[in-house]
Amino acid sequence: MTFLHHSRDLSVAGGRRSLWLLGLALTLSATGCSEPKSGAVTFYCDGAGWYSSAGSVKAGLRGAGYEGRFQTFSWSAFLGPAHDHFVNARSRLVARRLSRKIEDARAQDTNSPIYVIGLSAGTAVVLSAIEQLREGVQVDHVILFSPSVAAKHDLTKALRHIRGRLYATTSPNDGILAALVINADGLGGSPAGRVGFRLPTKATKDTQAAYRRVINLPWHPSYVAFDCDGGHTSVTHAEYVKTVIAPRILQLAPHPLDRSVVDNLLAAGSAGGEP
Amino acid sequence: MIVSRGSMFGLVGAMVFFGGCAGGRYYRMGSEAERQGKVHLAYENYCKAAAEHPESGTVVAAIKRVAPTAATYWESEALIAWSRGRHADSWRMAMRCLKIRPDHQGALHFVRKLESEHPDEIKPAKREWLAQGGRSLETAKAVTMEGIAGGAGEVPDTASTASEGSEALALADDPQSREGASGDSDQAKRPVTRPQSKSGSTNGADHGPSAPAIAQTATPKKTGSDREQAEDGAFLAIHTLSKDNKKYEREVLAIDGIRIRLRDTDGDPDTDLDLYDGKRRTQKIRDLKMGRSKMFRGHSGRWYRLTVLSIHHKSETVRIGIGPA
Repeated sequence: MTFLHHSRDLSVAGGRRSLWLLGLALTLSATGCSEPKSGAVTFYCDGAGWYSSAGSVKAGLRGAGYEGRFQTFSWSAFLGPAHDHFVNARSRLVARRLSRKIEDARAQDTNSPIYVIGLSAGTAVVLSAIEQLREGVQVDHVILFSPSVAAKHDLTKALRHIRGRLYATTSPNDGILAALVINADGLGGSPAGRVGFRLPTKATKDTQAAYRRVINLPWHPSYVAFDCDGGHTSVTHAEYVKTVIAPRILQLAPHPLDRSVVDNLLAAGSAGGEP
Repeated sequence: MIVSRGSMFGLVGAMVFFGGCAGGRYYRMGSEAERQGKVHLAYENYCKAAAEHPESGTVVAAIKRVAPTAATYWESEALIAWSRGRHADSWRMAMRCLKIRPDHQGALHFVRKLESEHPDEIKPAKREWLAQGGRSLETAKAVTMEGIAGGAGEVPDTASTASEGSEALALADDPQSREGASGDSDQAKRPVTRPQSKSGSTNGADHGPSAPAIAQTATPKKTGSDREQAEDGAFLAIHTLSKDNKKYEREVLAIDGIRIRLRDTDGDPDTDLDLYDGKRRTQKIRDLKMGRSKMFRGHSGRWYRLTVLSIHHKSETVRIGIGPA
């Protein structure tokens, strides 16, 4: 009898616990996860067939004090890197999905910063999405890690939708881009991730002014201290993001070390410039 | 093809001998510079080694090891140059610090402050930077420990000007820090002296003195004074202590009633220091390496941070900076 009574007590307690847990789960599902709806937001596009760098990029930004949302935009068809590179990366429909997300984020919060980051072929998606943004919609900064788009890709249209600066990491040690035959944006020529973006030939004054906000970030040997050896995906390491990228985007003023594409071009006219 | 084991070992041996191990000759040069305490040179050589061998774990470890100290070196050099009115050089040195640590908040703040307060002096240096990149930063004249050890001519003190006073960085402007720097000790009653600068160099011209000297009020021994104090932002005071170089005291009244006595230096390089509050030894600091810091408490109870800026082991000379904790 005592045993039965005791077991009934236990079952009642267990039932209450289950109810409590169910209530908690319902509350969580109703309110959504803890990510806020407004405030700073970062959209991240991984590389073709490379779906694992978001974690370290997020960790790097967090390490530098970034407290906003971090959303990975999945643009892959999961049919392998070649399909992603040749088909999905240049699909305007895929990029349009990202544009809509950015437009929604801007509509929800007109003031908070929006950062858009891409890796490799993901940078083609990023550029296409930004180019397709509705008139007047702007993001704050854009980071292109090892962009596999052409160095001659005209960024003028995209820059109209960027309030701040566009950064592109480049490296001569990038073996993957060295072997690239066709860029992810479908254009020929050297990829920007190898040689950096270049001012278009016959650039208008507006284009030149816009390119003052395009900054190539060439690999430097000292970056090995931040786990970045210049390899294709090494720029997504958390320490590199925290030390080299975050100070450039989490502060309003341009970083003192920034030299724009136009600055480099002017330098080429004078003494031999070092990147 | 059959190769005997002996031939194989010979081949590997020859490759190691001629090719050098790890990062090659730049790595060896870096190691040598690091051994001599020239950590900024070590860093540069390690970077050159990394350019050739970015995958070398030894090189990566070396850069990771010396980078913080190299950044501290350029930070302190920037502050010293600033305190002497060499604003363009100061900007270049702070930029070198940023190149090592792009997220260095002190250097970021300092560079922006220099650019806003001395635009005319910084403009040519910035133009050079935009045109030439890192190469342009190397033109800055650093104050080296060799200069200290080599018995460079004594540089007379110059009184601070009103404009210099307003140039103090945010940290130095902080009234609490200032108060803390003075404290209740008898040092509070003394005028706060500016870091020494060569006559004529305080006019803001960008030409450092040819004779290297340290940017602190290294009061000659014969005066018996212990008022060595710098007010250059990150550091409330900068002192040079030496066992062998007679130009410098071995013991100074550093800040807030605390005397610092140099015990010795090691070839690592590191240093041993003793801190006294009156006659009582309050702290022993042992094996403190260049760029490293230790906290200590002043007579008033306020905490400070002591940082080793440079060490010259041959003459057992160290330069230390003291800032708020």
